[in-house]
Amino acid sequence: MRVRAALELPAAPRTLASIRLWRRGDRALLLAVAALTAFGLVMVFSASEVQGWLWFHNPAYYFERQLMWLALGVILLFAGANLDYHRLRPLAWPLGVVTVVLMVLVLLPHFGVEVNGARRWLRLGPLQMQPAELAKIAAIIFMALWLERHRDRLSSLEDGVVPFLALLGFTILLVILERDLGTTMIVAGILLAQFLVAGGRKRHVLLLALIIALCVYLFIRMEPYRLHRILAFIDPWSDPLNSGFQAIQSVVALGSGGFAGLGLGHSIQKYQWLPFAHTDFIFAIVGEETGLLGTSAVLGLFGLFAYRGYRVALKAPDAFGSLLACGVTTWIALQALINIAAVTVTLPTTGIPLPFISYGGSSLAIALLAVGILINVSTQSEKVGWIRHASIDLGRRNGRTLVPGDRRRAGAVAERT
Amino acid sequence: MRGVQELEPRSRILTLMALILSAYLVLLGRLAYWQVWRHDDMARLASAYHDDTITLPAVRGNILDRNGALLVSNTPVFSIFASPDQISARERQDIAGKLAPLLEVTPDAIQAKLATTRKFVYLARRVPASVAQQLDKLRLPGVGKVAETQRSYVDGGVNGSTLAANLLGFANDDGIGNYGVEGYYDKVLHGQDGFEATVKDLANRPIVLSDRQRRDPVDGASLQLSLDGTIQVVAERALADGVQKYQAESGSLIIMEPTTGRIVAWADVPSYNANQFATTPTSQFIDPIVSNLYEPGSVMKVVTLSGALDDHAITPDTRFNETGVAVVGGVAIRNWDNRAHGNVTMTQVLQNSLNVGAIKAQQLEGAGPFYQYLQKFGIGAPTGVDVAAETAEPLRDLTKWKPVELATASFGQGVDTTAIEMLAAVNVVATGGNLVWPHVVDQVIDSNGTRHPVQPRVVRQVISPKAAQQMQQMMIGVVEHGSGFAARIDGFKNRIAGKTGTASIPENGSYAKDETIGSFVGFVPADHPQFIMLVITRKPKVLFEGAYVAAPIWKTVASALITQWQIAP
Repeated sequence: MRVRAALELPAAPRTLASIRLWRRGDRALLLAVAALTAFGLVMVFSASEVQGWLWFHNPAYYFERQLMWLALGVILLFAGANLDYHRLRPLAWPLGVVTVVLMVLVLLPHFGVEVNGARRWLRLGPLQMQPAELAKIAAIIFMALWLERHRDRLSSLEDGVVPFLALLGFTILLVILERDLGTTMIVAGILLAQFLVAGGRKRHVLLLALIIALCVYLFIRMEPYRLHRILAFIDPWSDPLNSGFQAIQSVVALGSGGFAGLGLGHSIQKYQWLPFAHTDFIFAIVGEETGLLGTSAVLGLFGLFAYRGYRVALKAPDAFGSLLACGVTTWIALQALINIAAVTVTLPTTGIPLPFISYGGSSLAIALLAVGILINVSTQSEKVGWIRHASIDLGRRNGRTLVPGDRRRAGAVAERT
Repeated sequence: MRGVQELEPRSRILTLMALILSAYLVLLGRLAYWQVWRHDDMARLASAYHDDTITLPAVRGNILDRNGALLVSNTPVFSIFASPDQISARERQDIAGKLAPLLEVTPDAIQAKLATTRKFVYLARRVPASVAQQLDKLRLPGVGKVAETQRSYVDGGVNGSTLAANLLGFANDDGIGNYGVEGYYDKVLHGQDGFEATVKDLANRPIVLSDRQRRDPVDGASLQLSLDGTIQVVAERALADGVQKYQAESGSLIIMEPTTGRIVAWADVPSYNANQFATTPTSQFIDPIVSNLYEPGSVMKVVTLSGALDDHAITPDTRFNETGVAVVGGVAIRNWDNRAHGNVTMTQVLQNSLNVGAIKAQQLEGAGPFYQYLQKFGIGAPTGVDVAAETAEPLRDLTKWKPVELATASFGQGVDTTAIEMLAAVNVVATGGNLVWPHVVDQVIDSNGTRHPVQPRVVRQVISPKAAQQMQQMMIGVVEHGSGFAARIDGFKNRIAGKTGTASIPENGSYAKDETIGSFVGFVPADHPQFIMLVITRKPKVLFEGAYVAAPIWKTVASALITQWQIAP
């Protein structure tokens, strides 16, 4: 009884941050991420033990590194969750500038590390990180701020669409210079989603999507290896030992797992049959070891994440929060989509990791930081969020010029700009 | 607002959510497609990639002599391999430089093998364990070793060759027996290989998993020969000495237990080193004792006269006037000494190896019986000796023989036989009338250690014991009073029965003038022999007759065997 009484007390100012998070944050979302990350850790161990042994004589080599990064990621998650997301506003510009600098630095031979023919990695002491990961989160924050401020002009071609296109183009250019088609598509997807939610016109979104598609097409034509990937995707069995090898080994792993899988740790494809078994193609090993049960559970958790994430966006108290939530959710959901689509040979291979699951420390840590921001937005959610107000306003307005919807913080900011 | 109705913000987010979740539903469909609908296909494809069967080789059986001494055994050796795909171009020179002195090859040769992208290449086959140990100390990346076994053969009586090399044959790198006993008993020695079904990785390395199919190998049986290693060494040395002394091209020597047919020694000169079969010319592997045909010459007179005695066409004391020449079918045939010997007995015919006398005996007997006795003595038929590659030249049908051919056949010309065949034929006299199956393997010892003795076999009775005894006496006369004088051994007066032979070598239809095959066959003690020995020397240059060339070799080995086996007169 005394315990219950204590719980029913109003939250003390000094309550432990984690307890406050648990009480006020989106628990389902947090659980989904925790489950994905924990399962990912198990799968990283299983999928990487062969390569760890062969290359480093330590089956836990990759697991240990992933664990270190996870520790950092958990810290970042709590930091993000406990930092009022409104305080990210002043960070948007500096973060953007730092990211741009890093993105340029990584292209320089002295700083960038080349892995598998692409210069995407930056060495920081013993660790390596991909600035492109940071770019995603920086772009989300920056664009959330920019869109919030230009919300009322988004429907205008010259005041809204063209400046947005310029920003989008600049961001994409930076990512594309790293020859990273997957990340390019994800960044484009995130920014377009934010643009749509912020009030961009449907026809403009479609137009922009068309432009991006055209760029992607040109991009593919530019590099012969990308064309090969496409051809391998269309008919992997035409060249099973070279261009089709990855795709075939991927579906062989998935397919041989069947409904219930071979059992955790019992993958055979991880014995060097499937390239990138612990990174981009870890989901195939998930399928081999845990079967359709495991893969559909992972897919379900990502679905739950998307549902809860967009729900946070719906209930956010202001446009900035809503756009942040929308950006983070779209990022994770889209990246999982593209990765699983590649593993199931539904879309061509683009070489991006599966969030929370694939081996890759900086990617995991930054994804968890983004989840932290999302959780913080969820702790401030209201029954009738900014969106509902905006919708009601829009309904009420019904044809009149768009006026800032929210009468509170978000509105105030919007009026200021 | 213009024509298009814009979405309200709430439904924009819901639209995104719907897009993502419906895309996930599509992926769920794809997952179900691969993992349920295509599961069987993919599982089959996976096992095609992964499954592998490893052969678990059975250990090849040993070969022992009659006293249990190892003649052939397996020694552990190592093969050195590299995985060039795991060695970078920079490391090649270093690795080649360190390996070259160890493997006794040039660094360039190693570098050439490493300069590929293959996953596996042998750098050296079958090096001793000491080399493998030194290799371990070098700790070279991408270089490894596999344990194998190698057949090893003991040294023979002659430098540069292994003991009884032609008789034993050898097992090659794949463990397959070639020639001799190794060839004849290959399946018995090899045993049954086992297998293990495993799963392999991309580089064909087996993955250690708990559930795998396995059948254990059944090791090969060992063979205990009737061969006496000690006597074999003596025989090889004596034969080599004789061959060298008389500058013969080659020589062969076989010793057998008369009643059982068990081979005691089996020597060939020149022979070879079975441990280095890979660098030996193939022609040296052939065993002349079973694979070479020769015309036996006067040794055949034993067969001719034995048959005639058994047929009662003659007795040892049958007399006739020997004129030194026999004219058969218009062809004049003379004795070896071109002399007439006057009134002689059949015993003297054999003692002095008179061709005219042998023709007389054959003619007294008649063509049909003579031919039948040739067949009964096993002339022209393989003996069935348990050694690979035995040959035989079947006798032509009797109707195709001209009288002169029958006449020359009576003293061993124009009839092709093998050495083992002639030994078995003369042995009929030694056994008291029986043709006995000659064989080398005395016991088969299976992998459990159970011994399976090989039973001696009498093929048939050829002549009566009485005829055999008469012939024994005649053959004693050969040694005591005739051409076999060189085979006499102190203390064995009238105890040694023998016969010399000097055959011409047919070349292009006529006989080469100075090329002969000298042979001597004899058994001791004459009336209950412990051994029979045939010695053949081919193309001696110093002396030509078997009496001078083969008989002394026979005597040397027989003396040693009498001492070794403590044979009483």
